[in-house]
Formats: sequence, structure tokens, C-alpha cells
Amino acid sequence: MEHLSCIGLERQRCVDHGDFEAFYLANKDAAFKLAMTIVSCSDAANDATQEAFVRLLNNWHRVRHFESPIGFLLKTTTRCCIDILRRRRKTRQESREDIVPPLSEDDLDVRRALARLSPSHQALLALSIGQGWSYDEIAEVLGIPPGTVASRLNAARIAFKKHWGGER
Amino acid sequence: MSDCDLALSNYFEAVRLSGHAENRLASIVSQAKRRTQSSSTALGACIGPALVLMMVLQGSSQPVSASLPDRKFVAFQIELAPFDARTKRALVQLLGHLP
Repeated sequence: MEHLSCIGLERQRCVDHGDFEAFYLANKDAAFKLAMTIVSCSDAANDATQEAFVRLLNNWHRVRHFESPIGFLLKTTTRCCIDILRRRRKTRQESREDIVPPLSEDDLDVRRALARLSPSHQALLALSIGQGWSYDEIAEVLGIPPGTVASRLNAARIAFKKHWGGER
Repeated sequence: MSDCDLALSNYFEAVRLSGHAENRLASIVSQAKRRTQSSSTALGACIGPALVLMMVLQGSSQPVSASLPDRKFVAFQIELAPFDARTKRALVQLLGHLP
């Protein structure tokens, strides 16, 4: 994804192409890292990142005037990742996108336990523990109150612990 | 930090590093291809091992280990390749983690 053409964007749709391209180049790695933490697979992370930038471009005329366009990007990337987790859960099929580079047995246990959680619980754990975000930051990205983040995160931890215990 | 949080933290770190390694290798292959196309250097020889590693890292349901070239030969090619020392170390480490 070195250039806009690589993500299939039509240049003429961009109100200010140079502006968007600069934003894309400056933030694509951050979006990819976020997606990678949530979906745990580079192919799926690339898909989520690409989809997020396409949505961003469609709203660029508005988003470019935001105080923090990156907030919109991270929010959209997270939502795209949750969509991917939902599709993955729905099909329940081991596909190429479910295969990650070699991990230790302990990490594979964690991965299997995570896969049994709901997509929103997976995303919450990824954002909190994987990304190290605060409740406020997660709340902003997911569009829910910080108190709700705390209670859902607690439920996610309990659910994870239950499945993780079963995997070991 | 609880056992549960520690296990999750280790897992996310491993995933993050694997994503970084894949991006790094993709960049290496891309650079090598560009440089090979623009000059007559023997960089093409370096693309093979990098592509093999990429193939494995990107995941495959097939048993890839049997089709891999001899690891010592790949390690030898990496050693000869005109990559910086850090990249070579990363490639050799990845080679050691192949199934």
C-alpha cells in the first residue's frame, strides 16, 4: 500500500488529493498496527485498513476539517475490524485469513480463547491490553461511555479467562 | 498484572511483531525488485529467500516446510544479501521460527 492507486481509490473523487495522500502516508502504519492487534492477521488487517481509508476518502471533504482526523480514522478502522471478526465468527471456517505466522503454544492458546469471545469483547481486549489505550480513549473510538467500557472490559476478561482455562 | 492480562499482553506483542516482520519483508522484496529492475546487479538472488519467507509468514494451509529450500542455504543467501545487519538478523531469526 505504497500509493493511493494501490488501494483502488479514484483520484478524482478526492477533493484535495495531495492533502489526503499526505494523511494516508502519515497514518497508514498506525491504522495497520491497530487493525493487526484486533484481527491478528496481516491480510485481514490490510483489508480493514484499506476499507477504513476508503470510507475516510468518501468523507474527506468533511473529515479534513476535523480537529483530529486521525480519531475518525482509528474509529473507522476499529469498526472495520469488528466487522471482519463478525464475518469470521459467522462463517466459523478456518480460512487463510485465520492463519497467522508461527506463534508459541501459549500464544496459540490465547488466540483460540480469544476467537471464542464476541467480536466486541475481542476488540475491547485488543484496544485495552494490546494497544494500551485508556477507558476514555476506547470510549471515544467505540462511541460508548467510559463506565460502559470498564464494565464490558471486565466481562470480556471473565469470558476470556473461562475459555483460556479450558484451552490450557 | 494478572496471569490472564500477561498472557494477552504477550500474545498481542507477538502478533504485533509478526505484522511488523511481514511489512518489513514486503518492503525488502519490493525494494529488491525495484533495484533489480533498474540495474543489472545480482539482487535477484536475494529475492528468492525473502519470497520463501514471505510465503510462509503470510500463512498457508499446506505443509510448507517440506518444500522449503535447505535452511542453511537460505541462511547463506541471506548472509550474502546486500541487506543491513539488522535486516539480516531479522531474516535469520524468522528462518529459525519456521515450522
